[in-house]
Amino acid sequence: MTNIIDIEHLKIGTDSLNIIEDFSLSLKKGEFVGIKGPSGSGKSTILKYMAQILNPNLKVSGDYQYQAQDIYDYEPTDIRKEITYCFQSPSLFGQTVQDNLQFPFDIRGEEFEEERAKQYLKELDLAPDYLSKEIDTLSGGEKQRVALIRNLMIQPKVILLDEISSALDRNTREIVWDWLKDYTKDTDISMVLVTHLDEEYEQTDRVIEIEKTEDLSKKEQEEQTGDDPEESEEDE
Amino acid sequence: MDANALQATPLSIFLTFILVVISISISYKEKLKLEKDIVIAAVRATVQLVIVGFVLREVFQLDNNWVTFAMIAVILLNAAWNSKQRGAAFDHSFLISLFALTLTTVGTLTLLVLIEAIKFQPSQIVPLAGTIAGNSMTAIGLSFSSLENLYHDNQEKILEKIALGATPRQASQSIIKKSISNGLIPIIDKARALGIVTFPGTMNGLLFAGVSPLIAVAYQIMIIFTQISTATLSSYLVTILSYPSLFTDRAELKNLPKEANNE
Repeated sequence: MTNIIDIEHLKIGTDSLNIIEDFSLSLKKGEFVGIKGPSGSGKSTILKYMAQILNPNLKVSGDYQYQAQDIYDYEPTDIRKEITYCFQSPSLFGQTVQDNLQFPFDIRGEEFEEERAKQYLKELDLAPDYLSKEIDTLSGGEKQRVALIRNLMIQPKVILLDEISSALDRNTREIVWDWLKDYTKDTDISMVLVTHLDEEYEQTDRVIEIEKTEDLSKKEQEEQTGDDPEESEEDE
Repeated sequence: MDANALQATPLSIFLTFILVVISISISYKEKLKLEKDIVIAAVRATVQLVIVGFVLREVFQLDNNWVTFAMIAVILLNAAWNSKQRGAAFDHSFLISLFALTLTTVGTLTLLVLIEAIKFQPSQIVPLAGTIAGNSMTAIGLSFSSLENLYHDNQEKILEKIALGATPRQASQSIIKKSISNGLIPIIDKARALGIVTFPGTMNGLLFAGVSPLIAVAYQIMIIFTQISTATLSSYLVTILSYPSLFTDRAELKNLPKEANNE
């Protein structure tokens, strides 16, 4: 099976702080990899770099090949449509759930597939009439599931899951994982997972362990990287 | 009423200053601590207007095209400088403001001269340039402030949209719309109250000069039309030209410096 992503000797940090030091990853098509490490070891930072949504203040070196071509040869907006990053604490926008699920179609100039949106909502234990629900009335777990559907309304090639089940109870977590398995079944979609739940790593094909490079507090790291601590420190 | 019958003597100005004194006493009595600000505002307005009065007298007497152009340039540069203060978070905010102000002011003046609504003479061109540029300046300032505040308040949502593959324009669309419409609030409010609550400057000036109310109204209608269009165009240009500086070449959202926030 060919690699979809090859990252070698990745280094991310600021002038005075190393967040990632010499990280490498070869991700095959259809493969599901977990990245495991202590709090503050930069797992979210790696995922954000893979999705090309890293804080532009951070300095990056290393080699990143996507489909055997340098990542910087691609338009970043095209990359983000193919490598989708699912936030730990997603923000919904607009007024209703439909505003969110329609957005991926709008930015591609395609017609919204309402029936499929309703089907996904139903499969994730959200009634189809959620489409017209005001986003302010949703619970954290409901928002998380709507955001997941939003990311996957149009099939990506790589799914980056950053603590997506942190706001979900055990029952809903199982529903989400069953749905994800079903979604990726018979496809060559690759996935990368970061989570604080060891049992979720059992879903993956393999796990890469990373170490914490510098012993800096959350506040110090935020000050130096300008990153939102909620997003950059995934284990807390 | 004949313009010559107007009696704005130094004594009458001094007597109206009593009204400012009343404001100062209210501030003092209610401990608003605005006495200093009121005095500075009154003195500053007086000094600025006296200087402008003398400058305009000379400019009108000279009746020279180049001097008129120079006066317009001074108005535009000042307005751009003032607008820039609200756009500190954006690259090239002075040049963007100057571009929007020049296009709207010069464009509108050219149109008014071409349709022979006004004559190209300093007594008509210079005050009108000030009216149009001042109106655009307000719209630009509001659009800059809104744009910056909206980006501050919606950074996570914009980042979500960028992560979904949106271009900076697509990710900013709702903010761009809001920012343009916020720039138009004063002129829309002004148009709504026109003639019912307020008698605007141009109309007042013409009425003071003894022009027929119907002609004064006709001019005011033209002015409000031009102000609506210049405010819209200014807000649009400033918003469209400013928001890209919040993104990198790789369509990543930059961190807005917190101290740059105007509010």
